[in-house]
Amino acid sequence: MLEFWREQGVSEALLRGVEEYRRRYPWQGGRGLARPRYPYYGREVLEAAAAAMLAGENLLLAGPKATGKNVLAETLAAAFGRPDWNVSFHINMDAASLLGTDTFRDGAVVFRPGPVYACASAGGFGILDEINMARNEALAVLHSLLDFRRILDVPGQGRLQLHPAARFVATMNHGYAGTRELNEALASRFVVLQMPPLDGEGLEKLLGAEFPRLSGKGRALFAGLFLDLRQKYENAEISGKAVDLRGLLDALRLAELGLPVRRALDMGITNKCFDEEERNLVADSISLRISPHMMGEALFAR
Amino acid sequence: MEEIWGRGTRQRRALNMVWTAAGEYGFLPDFLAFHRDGSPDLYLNSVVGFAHRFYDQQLLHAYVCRLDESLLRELFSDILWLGIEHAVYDRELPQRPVMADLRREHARRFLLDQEDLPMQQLMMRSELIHTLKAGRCREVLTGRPGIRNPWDKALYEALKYPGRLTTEEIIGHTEDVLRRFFVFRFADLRHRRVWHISLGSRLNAWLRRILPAEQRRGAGMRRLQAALPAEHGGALPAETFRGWDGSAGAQRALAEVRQTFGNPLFSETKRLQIERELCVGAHRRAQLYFARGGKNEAGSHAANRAFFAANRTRYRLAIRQLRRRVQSSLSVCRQPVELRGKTGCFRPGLVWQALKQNDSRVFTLRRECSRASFDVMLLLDASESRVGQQALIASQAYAIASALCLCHIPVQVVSFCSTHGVTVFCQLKALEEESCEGIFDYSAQGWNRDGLALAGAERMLRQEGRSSLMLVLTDARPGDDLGLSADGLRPGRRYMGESAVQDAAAAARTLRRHGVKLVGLINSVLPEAVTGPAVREIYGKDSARIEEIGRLSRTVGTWIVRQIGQDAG
Repeated sequence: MLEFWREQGVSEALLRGVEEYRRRYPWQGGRGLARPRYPYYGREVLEAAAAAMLAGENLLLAGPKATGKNVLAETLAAAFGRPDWNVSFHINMDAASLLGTDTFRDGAVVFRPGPVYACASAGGFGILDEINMARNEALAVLHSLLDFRRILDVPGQGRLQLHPAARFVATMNHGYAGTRELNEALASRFVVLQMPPLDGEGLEKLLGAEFPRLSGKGRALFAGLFLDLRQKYENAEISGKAVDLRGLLDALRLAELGLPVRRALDMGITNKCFDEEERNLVADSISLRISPHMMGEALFAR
Repeated sequence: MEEIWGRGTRQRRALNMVWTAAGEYGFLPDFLAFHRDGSPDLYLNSVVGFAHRFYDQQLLHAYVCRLDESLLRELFSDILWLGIEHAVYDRELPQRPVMADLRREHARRFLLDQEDLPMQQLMMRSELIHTLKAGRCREVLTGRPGIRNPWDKALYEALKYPGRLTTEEIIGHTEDVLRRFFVFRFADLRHRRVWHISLGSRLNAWLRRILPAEQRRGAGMRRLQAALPAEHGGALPAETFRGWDGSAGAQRALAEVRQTFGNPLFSETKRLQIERELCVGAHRRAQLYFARGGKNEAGSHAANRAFFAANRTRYRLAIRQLRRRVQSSLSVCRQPVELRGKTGCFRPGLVWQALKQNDSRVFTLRRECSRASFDVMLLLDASESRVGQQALIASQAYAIASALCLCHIPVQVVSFCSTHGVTVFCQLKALEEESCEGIFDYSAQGWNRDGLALAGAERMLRQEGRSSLMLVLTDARPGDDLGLSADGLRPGRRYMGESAVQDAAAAARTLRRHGVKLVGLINSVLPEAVTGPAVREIYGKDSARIEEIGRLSRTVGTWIVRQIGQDAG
């Protein structure tokens, strides 16, 4: 991972810092280390995030859909050589879901640790995904953990001191359906990185890394298509359903297996729009890039 | 109605094709292209979009306007577009190989559309342009244009503009073509820019066919009609200040209002009671009437509905977004309910059940139910100044009300205007009503006495200890032909400008004191600089502009969410 960062031009001082961190906190636990599915491209963002981690800060990654927030969070865990605990926040999230809860086993009440408790005690990287989906009252239990105190008081379990290697990376999409404002108390416990939307170049790199056989022409084609759809979404012509990077990658996987490209895109993207008019607009955008006769072989090298 | 629905949808789809190719949104192109069956032509609309992206639009638009001044404007515009089509195709093909497929499909559809044309359309068709277009389509499909006449052939070849041309070169090239193939001279000084054709023998024959009628083409490029509402929405009718002519006149006015606006919402006793309480001081010569709604000028419901239908995808998107946002906030502010479970908070008092009844549910879980203990009133300014935006306001109100209904938030929609000294309220949707269809009965007429309207609207709110959010869709320009009566030492004044704004602001303050959350949603053709002072005076910081559909859900959602938060404490 650090070699990949070096290739991207991440500063040597930061790379040395990460190596020093890894030497100081070698992972010896049973849990597997983080292995990001996709690489994150973007030197400036990587440098800012790595600096925040080295400084022991909690990092909040804010940005719209498909900006690589989770990819970056996993990348950080992998680069720092720690396992990650991924917690997807939702509206019914409460303190027990984060810290753990009592359960009844063999005639006795026992504590079952939650992901945040486990991460904090083991010194992992806690990825608090879509943190603004949860209510602020539920998140209040994290305050003492995330500020200078770095402690967690669990009723009946005593006080947990945060492992010095532990870090928390939260993600949020402001304005995403179902999200709320993050309150001041919680926001002040993070340093915030506004994630830039992936540009054409970044998208092409991502596609190239995921599909090594995908030709340069194919990468440009799909990156251009994704940017077209995103622009349409930003102008409120379509909903965000079609701006689906995962769907685009799924479509490419289907095309690689031999499905006609347009049909693969229908399955990966177009058919996710259940409104007929919206579906037509998405289909028109695709038609302006991809011929109905295009087969997967035209995109992938043999 | 179906036709209107379809046309709006197709136009939006065509616009999106142009915008996608242009890589830019929001502008209205001069032309849109459709097939004979009315479906948008993806290839030609994309060409329009690429032309927007590649060329200087100001120069090109100015040149098209110049061509418009000529007698053969349709012919010359088509010639220009034939040249541009070739240039755009030549330029974009290397980056976008799909253009070849799209062009072939366009050519196939074009030639197919020309078969079995009705005689009327054949007579109106420009043969020259048809020859050129059909030639290009045949060449695309077969490699040969099939044009035999040498003059036509030379013109056809001259329209193969290369992709490297700049805007100036495109215009220059077109000028050359027109000079070379169409002899003309400038007329007298007064009409210097108008082109007059010096008729040659060949042209003479064509002109007889081309000039008699403006072409109404079933397929191909169509000039985009101004789709925006008239720009006079902010203008008030001519001000005619007149006095009130006593109780006989008042009764007549009330009878007229009843005739116009339909059945009363309240009993006469209740109406009189409200009137006695509110029509005092500066409003003492004014009257109030509360109508049940559902009766409006013939055609306005259909026009409002048609506008919504034409933009229904965008409004439906706004409804969905607003609904999601509100539902999300509602779920945040929920009432806790404790349930027994196998995990959760340990309840020692239940342990005996585990030991004696083998029931290990000795914990309690917290579950919650949504609540919305407030009502929303959408108060629509329905004065004459809103005529230009009547359909837009009705659609916005419908979208907001629909989203709130889907979230089970009680919402009522009321329009108000003032006529013959009577401030009239029309209830377009009642709190308990599930359907929002009545909102399309919204019709703009008369004046708006905002101060009295805000006070009267408060009497329509539910008084059961529930809090209320009042969203006023307005242009914040109160005005009434019935002036403010002399009140104590204050002389009578016209209900216009500053004095009307102050009266509305005083009523707004009273509403707030009574615990009603008042928000102004401003929809005006006038810029912020003009409307701003009055908006701030009446609504303070609680206001936002909502002209764009795209911003509707976000703007309105913010206020609703805030209300939910306050309501939940």
